[in-house]
Amino acid sequence: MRWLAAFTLGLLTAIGGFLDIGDLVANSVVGSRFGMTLAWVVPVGVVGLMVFTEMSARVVTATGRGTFDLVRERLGARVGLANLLASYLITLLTLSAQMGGIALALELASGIHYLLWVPVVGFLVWIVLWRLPFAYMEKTYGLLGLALVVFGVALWRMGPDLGALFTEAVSFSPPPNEGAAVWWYYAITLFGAAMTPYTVLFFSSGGVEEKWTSEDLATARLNVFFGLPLGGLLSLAIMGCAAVLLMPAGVQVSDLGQVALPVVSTLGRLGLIVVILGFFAATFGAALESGLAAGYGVAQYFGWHWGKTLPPASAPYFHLVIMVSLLSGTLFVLTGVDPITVTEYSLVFSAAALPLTYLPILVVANDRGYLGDQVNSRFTNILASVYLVLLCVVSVAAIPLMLYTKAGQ
Amino acid sequence: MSDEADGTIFRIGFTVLDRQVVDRGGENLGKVDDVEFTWREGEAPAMTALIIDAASLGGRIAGRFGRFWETVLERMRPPEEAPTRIPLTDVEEFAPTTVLSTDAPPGMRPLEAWMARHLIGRIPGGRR
Repeated sequence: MRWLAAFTLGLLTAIGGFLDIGDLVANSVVGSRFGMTLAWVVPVGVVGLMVFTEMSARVVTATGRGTFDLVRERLGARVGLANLLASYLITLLTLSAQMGGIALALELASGIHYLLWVPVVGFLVWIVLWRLPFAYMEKTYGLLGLALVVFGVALWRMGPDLGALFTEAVSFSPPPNEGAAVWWYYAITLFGAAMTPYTVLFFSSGGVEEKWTSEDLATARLNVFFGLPLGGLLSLAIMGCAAVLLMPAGVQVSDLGQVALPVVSTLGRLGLIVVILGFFAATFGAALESGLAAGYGVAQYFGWHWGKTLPPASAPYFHLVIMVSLLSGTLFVLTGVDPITVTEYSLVFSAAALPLTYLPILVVANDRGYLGDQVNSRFTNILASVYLVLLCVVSVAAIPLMLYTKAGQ
Repeated sequence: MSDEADGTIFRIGFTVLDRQVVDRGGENLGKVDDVEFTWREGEAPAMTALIIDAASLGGRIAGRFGRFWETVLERMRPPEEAPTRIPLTDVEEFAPTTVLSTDAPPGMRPLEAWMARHLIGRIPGGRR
């Protein structure tokens, strides 16, 4: 029974922790502009994430080290550094987007302008990273994030014509009033949201923090294979809500309030409370994860002491990197840039950098020196190679498409 | 690796450089940023020490950025922060992780220790 409880908890955490500001914004924007025509991107992204997350879990349980701890050993100091710089900057951009998202959720709840919340948010995220035990932190925000199931409830209450939504989802073409370039641009944004690099960076080092052994591999796999698809369903529910309610009304999603609109209009005040709670938990959890991911990346490149489970004084540089990252994120959001715009750009740049995150995982997961007989099976390698080609295509196309479509205008 | 008459042959680039260095107790010390060779009259040059020093990485990154890296990090370094030199005799194992037979060299990275004592350790909860 304890095993079952642990599994359920892990599963719920995986579902609740799947969504962040990027998923919320991307799915809602896409749903309101393109209906369900881009729904196919979500399963494509989720399967990719599953394949590489499982590899990361295997690397952690076999070696006791994070995947990116091994990047410099396997790819050398130069490539490792280029990878570190790119990953760090993108993680920082993602962190800023999440912090903006938390501030927007607090604005929705309180009516106080989000910019006033930003310093508070920076401080709160830091306090949690500084004091709250690792496992406790992950479970709290994962479980609270489950509040976003309210999007599924809202969609069900709206009682849409599911057949029509499905036909739209498999039509594989943009709606008549939208061009192909913009449609593809948003496909890339959505893909970037599903496969956000910091998630897997955090996942692999988090496993080391929790001291995973080969016994934990089975649980980790179950969470990956069941939790992530269910998280993907939640993404689709958000997209569906926007497609059913916002698209016919001609609402263009440009702030977090509009993301919540379908829930509020179907479920009323209770819906509003639950959805704000969900927004807060999802963005806060993601801010914690991306903040840690920034610290992990830098500390592991230089081989310093790292880990949230260590007393901060035993890992001073690690905590210093986290503090500097949080401070930069806070200052960046305080400049008054629109958090939703930051989110969209963070997704495109993430998409452009995807191979940097996922190629090293594939390389390490095939290294017998580290994994022994736990290396990738042929099936995994074929699937992962197909994805790698896809990731490279997405990465090459992302920035030119962004410039060509003026970031989706 | 292959065995020759009197020992094991390995490539520095693959087996030594950029590996994680841990002390006897498994504590992270850093990565192998560079290696030191000694060349005595009439003998072949031999590797004598591992160097842990972020600035030394500059030479290995190469190019203009590498020189910039090295210059900046060396300028920023406080005078007592010398590169950490680990004599090869202390190395127990090279790959996959470089394990030492000793504890961390005393006085390694004084800046980090200072930071821990005067900045991070001063914040409530820093020492837990």
